[in-house]
Amino acid sequence: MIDAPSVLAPTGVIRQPAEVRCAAELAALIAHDRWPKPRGWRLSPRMVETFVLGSKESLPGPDGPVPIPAKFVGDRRLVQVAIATLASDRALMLAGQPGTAKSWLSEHLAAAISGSSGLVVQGTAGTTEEQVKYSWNYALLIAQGPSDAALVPSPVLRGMRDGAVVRIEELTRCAAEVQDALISVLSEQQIAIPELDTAVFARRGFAVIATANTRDRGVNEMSAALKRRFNFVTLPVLTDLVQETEIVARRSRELLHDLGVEPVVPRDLIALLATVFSELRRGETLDGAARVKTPTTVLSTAELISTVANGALLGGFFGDRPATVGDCVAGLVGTVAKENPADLDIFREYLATVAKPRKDGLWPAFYAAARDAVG
Amino acid sequence: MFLFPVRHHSPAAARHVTRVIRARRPRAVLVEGPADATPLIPALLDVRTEPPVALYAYRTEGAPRAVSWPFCAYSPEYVALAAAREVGARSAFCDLPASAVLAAGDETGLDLSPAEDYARFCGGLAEAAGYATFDEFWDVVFEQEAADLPSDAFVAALVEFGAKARRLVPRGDEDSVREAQMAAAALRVVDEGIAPEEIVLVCGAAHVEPIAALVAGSAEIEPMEPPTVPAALHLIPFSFPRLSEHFGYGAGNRAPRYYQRVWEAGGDHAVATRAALLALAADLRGAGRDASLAQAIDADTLGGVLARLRGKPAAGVDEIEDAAAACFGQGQELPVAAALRRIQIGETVGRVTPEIGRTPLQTEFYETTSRLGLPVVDAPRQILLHMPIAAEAARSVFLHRLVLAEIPYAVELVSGLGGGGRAAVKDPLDQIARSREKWELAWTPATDGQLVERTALGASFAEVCGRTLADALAAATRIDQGTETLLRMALCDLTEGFDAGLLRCERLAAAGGDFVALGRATFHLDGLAAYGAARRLPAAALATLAARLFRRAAVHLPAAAVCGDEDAVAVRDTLVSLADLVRRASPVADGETFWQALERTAAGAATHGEIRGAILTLLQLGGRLGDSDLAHHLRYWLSATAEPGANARLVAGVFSLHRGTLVRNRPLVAAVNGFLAGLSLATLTPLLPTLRRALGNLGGAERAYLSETLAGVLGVTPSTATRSVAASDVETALLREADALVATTLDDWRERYGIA
Ligand SMILES: Nc1ncnc2c1ncn2[C@@H]1O[C@H](COP(=O)(O)OP(=O)(O)O)[C@@H](O)[C@H]1O
Ligand SMILES: [Mg+2]
Repeated sequence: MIDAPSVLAPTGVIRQPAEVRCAAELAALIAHDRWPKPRGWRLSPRMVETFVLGSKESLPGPDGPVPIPAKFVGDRRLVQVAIATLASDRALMLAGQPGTAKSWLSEHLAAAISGSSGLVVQGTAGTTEEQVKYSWNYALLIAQGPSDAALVPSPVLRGMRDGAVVRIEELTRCAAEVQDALISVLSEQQIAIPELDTAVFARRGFAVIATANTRDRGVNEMSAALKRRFNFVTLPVLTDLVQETEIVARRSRELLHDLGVEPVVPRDLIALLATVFSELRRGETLDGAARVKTPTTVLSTAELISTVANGALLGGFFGDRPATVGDCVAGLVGTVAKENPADLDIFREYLATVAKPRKDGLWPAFYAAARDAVG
Repeated sequence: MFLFPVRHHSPAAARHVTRVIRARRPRAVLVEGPADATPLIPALLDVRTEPPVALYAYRTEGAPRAVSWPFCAYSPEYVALAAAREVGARSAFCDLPASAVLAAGDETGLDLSPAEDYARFCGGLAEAAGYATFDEFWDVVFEQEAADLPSDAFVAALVEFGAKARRLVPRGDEDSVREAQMAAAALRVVDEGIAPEEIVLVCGAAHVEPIAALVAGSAEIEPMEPPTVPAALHLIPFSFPRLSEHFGYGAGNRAPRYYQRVWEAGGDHAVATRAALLALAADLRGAGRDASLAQAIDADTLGGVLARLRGKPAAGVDEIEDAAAACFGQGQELPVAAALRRIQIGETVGRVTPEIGRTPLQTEFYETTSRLGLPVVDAPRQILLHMPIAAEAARSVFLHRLVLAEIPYAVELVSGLGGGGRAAVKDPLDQIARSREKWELAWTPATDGQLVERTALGASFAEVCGRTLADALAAATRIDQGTETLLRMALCDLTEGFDAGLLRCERLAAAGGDFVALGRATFHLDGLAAYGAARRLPAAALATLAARLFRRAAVHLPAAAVCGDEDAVAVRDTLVSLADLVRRASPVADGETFWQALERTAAGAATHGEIRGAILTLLQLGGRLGDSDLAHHLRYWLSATAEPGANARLVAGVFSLHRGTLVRNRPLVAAVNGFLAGLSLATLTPLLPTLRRALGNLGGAERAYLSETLAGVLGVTPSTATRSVAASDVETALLREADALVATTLDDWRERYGIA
């Protein structure tokens, strides 16, 4: 197996939350918002839409014009349905394959609506009911008995109390009891705390955005009762190579900028890597002329971003030059083969049958570097 | 003169035009539409006429062509005519007559094809206003916002829109000709003594300004007589699905059923949307899906908020679509697509007053479908018919008549599991032998269009089909064409012409000496004799003719077998059919004559290889050749010619029948193996298509037999009898070795020849 030089975790641990990264934009949008806001919202639905999808025009700010770039690239109607869902006090379910920007969109919606995207429950098989309701600080509980001070609120409880958006990641991976607990929270819009003989009621502005991976079996096994609490928006896999290249270029630049690196990754290199990802993912070449075996590993836009960012970092840190094919290949191979060694054979076959015959642009360099990397 | 601008199928324009006519009480109302259709206005407005309906015009001479002008309950043109009648005004259509429209596109005629520029204009307008499509733009700006204005303001807004479209997109002559036509019609009404202010003219928004100029005299009406063709006009039922796809860009109606609700709700889109979402939930529940009232309410709320976010006064077609996916489809369109189609587009079929405008064929069609319980809806429905049941046989006869008359309504499908909705082969012999028929029925406006046009051929289906069959008989030049027509007569239960048909066949039989035609005709007549008893056919006469044809076919076989590749397949198939008659001991088949003909043909030096091969197999199956004789003959003929192509055809012919038995014939497989093994790859490559046809795609059992036989041929395995008791290690090893050898040989065959 090849070890990819993993300078960055795929999700970018060092990333700042959206409301920090986009603070200037959000401030400018708030200052210029002329439309009515739902109670508890910091921006009107239209301005949330503008924030998410971007605007051609910059807004004036204290330090000059503030550009509003698109955060999410895709169908405007889907984004509108997501925002309208939250504005009508319904819970929103973002469904889709891995890497379709479910978390990304959810984070930006929360940042725009509530000014904070930090109220997150990470759904796993080990998620407990307490993480949807509340738990106790046992030292204080023993010392003082049940008290406000001893109560440890869950993100959901805090969202209710403060009137803010709460994000539940990968809801379908949670156990059935946790999902059931959520049903009662969503339908009653309150959390009872019998120990304190009280209840926390949801303030306006409280809303839930859940995400679900349609590759998981869980989506189909979600109870009808829970499904009914949500409006669903399914995010599609990007099929437009130009769009994907554009997103990857921008996101990898942002990621590295946060690290203090100003990397240069040539656009044709990103386009080549996007082509490789896309062909392996689809199971055929872009022109449809040849079939390609598909690795078991997920090869989403998110993985592509981290491959490119890793490559750029190698070039930037260790070479002080624009990233080359060679810089990116090790990361690519590591990504393709990270779950299943058999995927490496699939990649080898791809190199021999698809990449090798291509003689234009960066393909020969890519083939040479990749063949060396996989041995 | 009051010029009222419309867009076709716009509920908002329909509401305002009614209001304007009621308020102005004009003495004459002129409406854009073919001038020669004016006599049909009373039928259009008859209480028993239920839109959607259409004026249907077709050419009565020359190349067939047809045009329709559809109306639904909220088409402004239709509503204006109704309002005119209400206030006692006379009314007329004032546009180019249908006879001129049908001439359009001819060299001398006008170019009436919709302009692409117009589409671009509409698209551009929508984009500038921030909408994804022109339909969405129209909805918001005219159906919702402008609809609530006073009529004067609505008219002004629409006139301005139309004028811009017209000016920005000059469409050349055809618009001017139509405008001149409409203006002239209006001025004729003035000449007849009706003051201009007592006239309302309803026309497309783009035409208002130019017509106003012509009528006011500020522009010259160029006298022009557009060319015409002979044409006829009718009123026919139309449907919502067709309405949604009828017109090109900008004039269509993407959701006729939804706008019907808007119309019924007096223009209140919010009410119509709520009703549509409730209907959607009910439809989904009907299909067994989870769609509660609570979800419908959630969807309605979402639609309303979405509309506000999009700057629309109320939710409409687009919001229904989005809300349906979010609230009922788990974020996907597919699960709700069919239900949405029913809610937005609908399946409604209109109705035309029975008194006027129905041709005899339409009357027979509607009466018969209703009597036989056949569905008349604009969506496909499948039915299964069991021929032994009299009522279902009657349906079958009627449907076969419709097919013969080329009325687009019924398509016969392959019945049974695995049919998969494919159209059944229209071989009348297969059809007559079926005990079950599966049909797919769908009414479309084209059904009525053709019912109208076919009336030219007769006043009943019996007459139309009778004439079609008589024409086919007269045109037949081969005996099997004649007998095929007899079969169709039986399928359509049109046996009056049967005796004349039989006579015609006798004559064709006497004239022709084509083996394939004679053979097929024999088979047709045998089928008719067998299945026709129930249909009161002259069985004895049929059988006599068939027996005669059979003998003549046998006589002509040896000559027919000397042929090229193109004809060989047909000859072989015909042979197989005749052999089947012999095997069944059909009274029409004279076995001895047949076998002798086969033997003579097989021995003919010039006989086509594939036919010879098939004959050898037939002779063996008929007991005229033993197993080893077959292999012997095969070897003989393989060595008789050095031409590998002919030999490949021979092998293919032998294996074209009863492969399952032949693959167990060891001497035969040995002969084939010897032949294949002796060929170089270069020689073989061009023969592969032929060989694959015969030996490729062997089924599992056939493969197993072939490998067993081949093992025997190669002499590498103990016999099957000892195989089951083989226990010792030595024998197991031997067995494995043998299997491996056979496998390589089969692989080798596959590699080299693509067979086995
Ligand atoms: N349509 C898109 N628009 C913008 N960014 C996208 C898009 N699709 C993928 N991305 C990028 O890919 C990454 C998606 O990761 P993530 O949101 O974690 O995916 P998910 O939660 O769906 O598995 C983000 O960095 C995002 O910027
Ligand atoms: Mg995620």
